[in-house]
Amino acid sequence: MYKNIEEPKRKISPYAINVWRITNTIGHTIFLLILVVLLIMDSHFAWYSWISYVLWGLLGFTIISAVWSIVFEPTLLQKYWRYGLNKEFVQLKHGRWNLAHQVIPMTKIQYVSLQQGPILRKYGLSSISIGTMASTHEIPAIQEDEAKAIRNEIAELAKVKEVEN
Amino acid sequence: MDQKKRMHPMMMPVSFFTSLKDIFFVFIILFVINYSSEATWVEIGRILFFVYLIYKFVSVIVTWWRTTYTINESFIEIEQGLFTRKHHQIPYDRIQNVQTNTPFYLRPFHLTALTLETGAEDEDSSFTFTAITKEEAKQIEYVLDHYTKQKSSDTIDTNIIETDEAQAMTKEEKVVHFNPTKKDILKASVLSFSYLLLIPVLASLFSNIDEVYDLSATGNKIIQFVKDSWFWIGTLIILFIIVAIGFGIIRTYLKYGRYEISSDHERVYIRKGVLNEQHFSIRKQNVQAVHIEQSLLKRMLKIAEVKLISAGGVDLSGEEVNSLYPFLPIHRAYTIIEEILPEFQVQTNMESLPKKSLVARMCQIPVLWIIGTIIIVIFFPKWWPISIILFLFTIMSRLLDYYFTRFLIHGETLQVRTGGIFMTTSITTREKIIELKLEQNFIQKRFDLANIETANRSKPVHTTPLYNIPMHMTQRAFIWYTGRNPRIEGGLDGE
Repeated sequence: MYKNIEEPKRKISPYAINVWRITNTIGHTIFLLILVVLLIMDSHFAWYSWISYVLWGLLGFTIISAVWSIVFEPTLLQKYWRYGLNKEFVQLKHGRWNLAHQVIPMTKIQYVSLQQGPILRKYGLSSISIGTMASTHEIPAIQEDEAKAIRNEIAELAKVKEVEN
Repeated sequence: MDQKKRMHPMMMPVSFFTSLKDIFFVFIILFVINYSSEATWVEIGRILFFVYLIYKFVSVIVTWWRTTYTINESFIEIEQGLFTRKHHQIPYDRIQNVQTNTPFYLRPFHLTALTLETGAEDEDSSFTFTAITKEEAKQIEYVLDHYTKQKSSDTIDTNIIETDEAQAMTKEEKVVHFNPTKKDILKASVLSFSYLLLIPVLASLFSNIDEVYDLSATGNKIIQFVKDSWFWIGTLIILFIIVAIGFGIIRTYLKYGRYEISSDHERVYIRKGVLNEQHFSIRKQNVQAVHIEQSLLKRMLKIAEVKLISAGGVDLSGEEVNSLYPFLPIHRAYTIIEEILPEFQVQTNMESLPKKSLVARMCQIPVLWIIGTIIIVIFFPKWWPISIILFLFTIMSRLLDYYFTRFLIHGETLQVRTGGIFMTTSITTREKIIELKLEQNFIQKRFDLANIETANRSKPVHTTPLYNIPMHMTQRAFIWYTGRNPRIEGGLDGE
């Protein structure tokens, strides 16, 4: 498909599925709790009727979204996430229905950093942030030692600067 | 050269009067509108006003006295502040743009204001010398130019000594590319809609006078009189149109009249303004992309605006100055780009999109229309025809966008044209693109279409998206971009 450059092939850790399931469960639980509190207050204080419609609507929407983003989305996301790097480019590719494929030249990278929250740490994973002058990109959930190796590799390759003219 | 200097003493009256301009409105309220009032708040306000004036007067003198600058070999050092001294260094190689601005009141004294812009994001990103002599400004610019020239010959051309002289030769040759003719200014005044500004100006004038003297009563009489005779209405309207057009032409002339675009080996220079003269320059190597913008009206008059998207902020007191000239005749626009920035040369044989691209555009969910319609149905049900107009407008703009979108990869340049009513042609080169992104949703997959988006370095980041183009075009863009072959600093044996 792309003659000049190999398609990105490396996959992210399968534990990413668990990580996403946990974080999405936490997020949705918090939102659901807030909604429930609001609904109780609504029935107590008899707010405007449209507020309760909106709240019930949001509740239904949250439940659907929870099913999608806890049960289905993490597997699909992990399955189709690819990244790749060679001497000249970093490539990130993800999504099947909504495909996004990003190419970043090594010379335009300004910084790389590793991040690790408590859930990622539990699985021994790290995520990598790659910053250019335009924006920041993330490769989520990679084995910690692998992530470190990638960070060092990018940092080494990104040292090379183009002549600007 | 290393001694501490102060700015010209004229800085004091200049800063004093600029601060007066800011509180002019307060003056009007306190002393004109409430001319005969003896209310307590007016009295207190007047006292505070005088206290402020005295404070300003003293602070202006102190600021001038305590602000010094030193021109060093590789940086300018600025010291400010009465009690806490603030030392601020601007290294020459950080300076992206130099601008001079000569308002009419500085001209008789042979003074000018000079702004040094760096690419930084913080508040210290630029420094303005409010009033210095023209010779001093020239001196600073000369030091800067000399420094960058020396540096570039140091780092890049170490092994070629003769280029230094050759560079010095080309440096002298500043080529003038554009001076507007009378015809250009006439066209510009039609397009700039300056004459419409007369309406708010008159309205505010009227309401201001009205507050002091009761004009509306006399006004009513006048209106009654005018109603009685058609002749007077006609004359009044014609008079108004003449005044408005005259006003528009004068205003456009003052802004765009003595305009000059010139360039040398390293920079593009723009001089504008008749009463307030402004000079600024953009380093050619900082130009990341070139935009040619045309509204429907400009297209009919064969006029275009050329903008240079540049790294590092190009901003002069809030006014946009990345524009070369907003009213360039289109063929001149092309040749000027070719003369100034040959790497961004405009190609005319661009590719249009296939029919399926239009189909995909039409299939998109019209979010704006849906939201608009919901708002209308809920809050303003009587205004339902607006929904239909909005829908037609959505369809229209999609159609126009499809018909005018073009795409071209030519050598090192990527040239993209988008937009229906406001058409923008964007030209950038492979080396200046810092990211390329391809996106495809499942509907586009059916049609074998995709979006691409390129990002360029600028402040804020400059992105050029192109929607619903055929997959083979995006693939070509990918192959083209991944085939980039930049020159690397320090030679090829960098590994």
